[in-house]
Amino acid sequence: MNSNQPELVLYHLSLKRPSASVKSVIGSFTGHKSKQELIVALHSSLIVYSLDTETGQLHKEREHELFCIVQNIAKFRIPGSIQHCLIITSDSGNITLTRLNEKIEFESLVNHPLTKTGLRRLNPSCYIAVDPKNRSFMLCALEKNKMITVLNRNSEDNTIKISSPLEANISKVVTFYTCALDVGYDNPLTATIECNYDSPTKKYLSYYELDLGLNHVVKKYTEEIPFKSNFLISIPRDAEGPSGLLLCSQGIIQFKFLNKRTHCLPIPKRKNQKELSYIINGECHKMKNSFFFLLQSDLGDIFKVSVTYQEVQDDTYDTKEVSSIEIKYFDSLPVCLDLHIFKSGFLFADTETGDKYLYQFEKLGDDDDGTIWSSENYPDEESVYEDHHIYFDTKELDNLSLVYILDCLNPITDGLLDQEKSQLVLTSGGSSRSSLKLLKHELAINELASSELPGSALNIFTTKVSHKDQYDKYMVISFIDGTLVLSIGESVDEVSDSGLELQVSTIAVQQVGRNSLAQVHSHGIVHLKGLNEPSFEKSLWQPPVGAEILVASMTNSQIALGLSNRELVYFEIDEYDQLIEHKERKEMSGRISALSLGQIPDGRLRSPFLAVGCNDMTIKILSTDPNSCLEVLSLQALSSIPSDLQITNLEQGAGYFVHIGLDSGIYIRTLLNRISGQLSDTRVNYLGPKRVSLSPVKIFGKNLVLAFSDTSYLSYNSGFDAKITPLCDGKFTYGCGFISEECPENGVVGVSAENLTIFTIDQLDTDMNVKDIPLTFTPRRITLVSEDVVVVTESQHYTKNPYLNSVATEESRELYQQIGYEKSSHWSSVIETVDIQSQQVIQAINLDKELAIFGSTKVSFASHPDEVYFIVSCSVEQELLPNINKGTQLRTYKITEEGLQFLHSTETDQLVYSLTEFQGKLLAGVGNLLVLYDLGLKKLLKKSLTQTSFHQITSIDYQGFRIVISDMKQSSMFLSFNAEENRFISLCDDITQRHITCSKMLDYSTVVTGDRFGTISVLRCPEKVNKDHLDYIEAKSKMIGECPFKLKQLASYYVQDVVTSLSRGSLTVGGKQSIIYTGLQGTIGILSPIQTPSDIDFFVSLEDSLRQELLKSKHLLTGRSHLKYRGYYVPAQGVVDGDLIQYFYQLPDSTKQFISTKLDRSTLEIERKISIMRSLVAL
Amino acid sequence: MADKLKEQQVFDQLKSKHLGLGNADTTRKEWLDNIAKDTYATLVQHNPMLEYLSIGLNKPQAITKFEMIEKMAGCRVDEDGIKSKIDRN
Repeated sequence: MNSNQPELVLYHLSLKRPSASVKSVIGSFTGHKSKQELIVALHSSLIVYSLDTETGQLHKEREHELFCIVQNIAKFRIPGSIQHCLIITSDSGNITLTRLNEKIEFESLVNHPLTKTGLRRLNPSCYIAVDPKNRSFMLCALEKNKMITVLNRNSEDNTIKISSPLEANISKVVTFYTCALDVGYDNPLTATIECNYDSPTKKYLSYYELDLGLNHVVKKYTEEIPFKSNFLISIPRDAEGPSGLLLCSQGIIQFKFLNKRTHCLPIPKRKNQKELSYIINGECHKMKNSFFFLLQSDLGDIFKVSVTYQEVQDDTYDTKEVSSIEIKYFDSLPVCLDLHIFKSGFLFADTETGDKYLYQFEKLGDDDDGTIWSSENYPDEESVYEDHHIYFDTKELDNLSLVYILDCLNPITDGLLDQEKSQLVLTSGGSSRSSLKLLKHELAINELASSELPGSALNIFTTKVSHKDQYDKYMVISFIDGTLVLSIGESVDEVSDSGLELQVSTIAVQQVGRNSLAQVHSHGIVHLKGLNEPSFEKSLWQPPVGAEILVASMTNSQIALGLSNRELVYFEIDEYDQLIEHKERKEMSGRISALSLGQIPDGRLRSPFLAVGCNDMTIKILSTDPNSCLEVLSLQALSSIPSDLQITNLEQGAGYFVHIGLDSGIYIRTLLNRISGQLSDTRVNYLGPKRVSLSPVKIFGKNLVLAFSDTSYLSYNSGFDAKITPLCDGKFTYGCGFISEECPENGVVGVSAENLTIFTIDQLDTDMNVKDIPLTFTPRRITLVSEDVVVVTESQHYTKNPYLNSVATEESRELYQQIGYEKSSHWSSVIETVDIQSQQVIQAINLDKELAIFGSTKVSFASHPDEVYFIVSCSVEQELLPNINKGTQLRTYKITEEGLQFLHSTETDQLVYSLTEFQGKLLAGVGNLLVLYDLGLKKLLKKSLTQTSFHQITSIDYQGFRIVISDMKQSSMFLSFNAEENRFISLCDDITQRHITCSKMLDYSTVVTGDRFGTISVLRCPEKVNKDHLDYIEAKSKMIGECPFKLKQLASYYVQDVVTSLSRGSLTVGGKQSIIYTGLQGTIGILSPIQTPSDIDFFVSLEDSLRQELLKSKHLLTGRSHLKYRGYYVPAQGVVDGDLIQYFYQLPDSTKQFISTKLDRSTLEIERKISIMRSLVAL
Repeated sequence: MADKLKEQQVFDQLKSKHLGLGNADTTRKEWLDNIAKDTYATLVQHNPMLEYLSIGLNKPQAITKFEMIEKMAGCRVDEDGIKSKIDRN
């Protein structure tokens, strides 16, 4: 290999973007007064949802990847307009103001440098507090720095300008929360919860006032507040309210407004709750002349807080005085980051983990007789803490009803690749809302009906009988020796008087002309005329003696037949529904194996092209124009005999696609020029070992093609890219489109062996189908123990296990999913065995309340070759922060038919995070020790012990006698097992300190690691390290106190998410071996090596040009350099970002042209290369 | 001598502006203190890391964030102050 050519270049693609939100806001971002949009900021992108108030559904309008870390967002309105704009703070160090244009695209308003890059403790990007009157906003850092910026409207073009920031920096001050007060048109006032390094036992509420006249900031007022104060929410002013804020602390809510009187309220507690609650988020809902707050506690309970006030005749500026505040239990929801109330009466719960929910308000909690606590009964703080009558009962959702669920994978705690079924098995979610998710690259189908057939069906057709028919009338099923005709109506019945030939196998059926039907079988065409009249006319056309019809294709006005004597026969149907044969039969170069006329384009009489496939491995495109009928326009050679052809129309007459199925199981899609009939832009996919047959369908009004080989596929366009995706459970041999009264669109009918299934395909935007199996607690580790069975270990702290003495039922699960588990100081741990085929939990073993699970693995011991065992690592009475426990143990279970069977438990010296099978023994990373265990009768027996220089081993992987161990802090190390001396010898370690969470060996000397900060690296052990040098290595190691060889970093890449699992394999049939990773926040991505040096050169230079162009075109709103973003901790190396490359499609033509000139290739060629790479790498 | 004084003044000024700036006289405690504060600030501000912690601790992210900032500020409960008030409940 050339010395300046990198050893490895990977192509990265995200299969699933993270779904955990950082913050969300609602507002009129499109500028329509009646419409409100929801913008969710994810870790590095923004998503805009619109709410359909009729159906209560959220529609994703736009996803904008920013390629930077979004820290916070806030909304503001340009004074005088009704459109809301967005403030973004990010790791770019810039302050970014943006808004949505008419096409719902983000356009940059302001992007000013403000501070250093990165998320540092002094960067004023942590909190944003926007003045409710949109005059200014305050940016606040965790420590010291505060900046207030005035927003000015540029009246000429209705844009916004920001003034240079006014600083309000105070050293040694840490900020916990900020909130802008609604003070009408007085000077903007912002309140913060602060603590000073010098007095760490006290917290203060400080008010900062921006004096608009003098243009400076003053700290107006400060007071000491309860020590556990954590949350602020401002009270509206003007017609609605009296201004001021609610200060929430542990167990208490207080009304505060400068030096005005304080009102106090307790935060009510659940019946069994021991500790006092915090308020963690809240939303104020303003209505005409009134308002209320919904505040959520850390257990998820929602409280409604209302403020009563009275007019006070006073000289001072404020004439409304708060007289009391009241609190009442409202409902319980999962713990959220943000709550948002839409004007149309919906509540969006931006949950911390798992799916996000949209609720509709049924009522506002005014009518029930729940207890109301009023501040009138609490004269001071002391009286709040002393009140013991603050308990309430949780209840099922009463005031809210769930209307829509936004699916999220966040958080993925572990995952594995089930190569056999090409699916990812993930554990996702926290606490009571966790689940096991099965992800497969396929399209979900919605089965409507299914019935048995008398025999094995070859083909199926649906047809109308008159061209005016809206729905299909007949379903024609062709068997090897006959045909079955079914009528489609309310029920599906067999028809015998249809006039169609039933004793032969049907090749094609089509409604032709006005009221005619044509059926092609091997000995002729049955033509039924006048089907609208009671007695119809039946005529038969027969091929010449000795010849048979092999293939046929029809449109409403054309019939093409391929005969066994290589002749092509072409008919047209005239206006009297007569068949008129073309004067000449054309002899083809080989036996005709496939034909397609396609569909008639809108406004034309006939389909202009006929595609003919012959067994000399070619296809020809013939013209059907009356002036040049059956003239060959173009020819394409193939790698195998074409088994089926299909021409589909593109939208707006942009051209045609020719879909070609080959005998060898290959599917080809190529573009047919609508004028010249030339073929170009070929895409090839391998579908399976069987011959491919094709069938046209109409999905969402588009002409698409179903392909059938081993599995069924749908070929479609997603975004800018051609895709072919398998159908879920799609083992159909053939199928076709289906339109009936019950199923007016997207319907498909498929036959498989002796079954007939009618289904719809309702979603094309997500090609990863997710199946869900609910679990009990936060999942830790997942292990595949046999083909269909996985064992999930689940464990969580501060939870009382409700299933210690009872069995989980559907009702109890639902209850706990809503209100969460009861808190206690103990752990809840369970080992659940799940059958992923039937999607059932087979067995659940609840562990004692002291035990916390940390690792697990499956082992087959060489000493017990017939059995398989499951080992779980536990600790007793584990405390976190700092890590303390009262002993650790390895629990051994035998895997039997019925499930797991407990054998014994073995004490260990330290906590075991990582376990694996190694050479017929169990290898455990006990703290910094590597210990080999064998199975004994009463416990596991220590067989070998090696001390390493590590702190805590988190991951072990092996190939042969070589292992790679990874540490919590110190990256990875290669070791070799010396069987004679029965110990491990360290070979090679790393020079970069990585906090590894998971690792996977790619080959004997290469390992891929994922770390806690979101970097994936590929490390390679030098070739000169081999087992002949063991003595030398050992001697040298002893001398210098570390490994003499160092790992070489081949690739490093920031994936913006805590990497939770790495697997090697492929998600598609016949796909390339790649690295598939999962990230905590719901990221799933794939890294696949680019194989040729020319491709490497091409993609690296394309990525480079795109980086520059996207930054120039302000698409990267925050102005963060992509290269720096991907090298957030360690400089990016050896990875091409496919997510960035995909943006090429979205560029304006001029930029595309510019880049393609720079790369010396045509735009089409670049697009084709990107698409091929995508289908090669992933899907 | 005057140069030395000036140098010290410039250093002090820079140090007050850029927290965590050190020189040969920085004490071990001061250095550790800065590292710890930076670490807590990083944990709080990087969303995936905060979520990782909050799932591990089984506490809401808002609470985890609050407690981490408290640690950063070196907050400790005044033994005979508020803590006792809460405990009484």
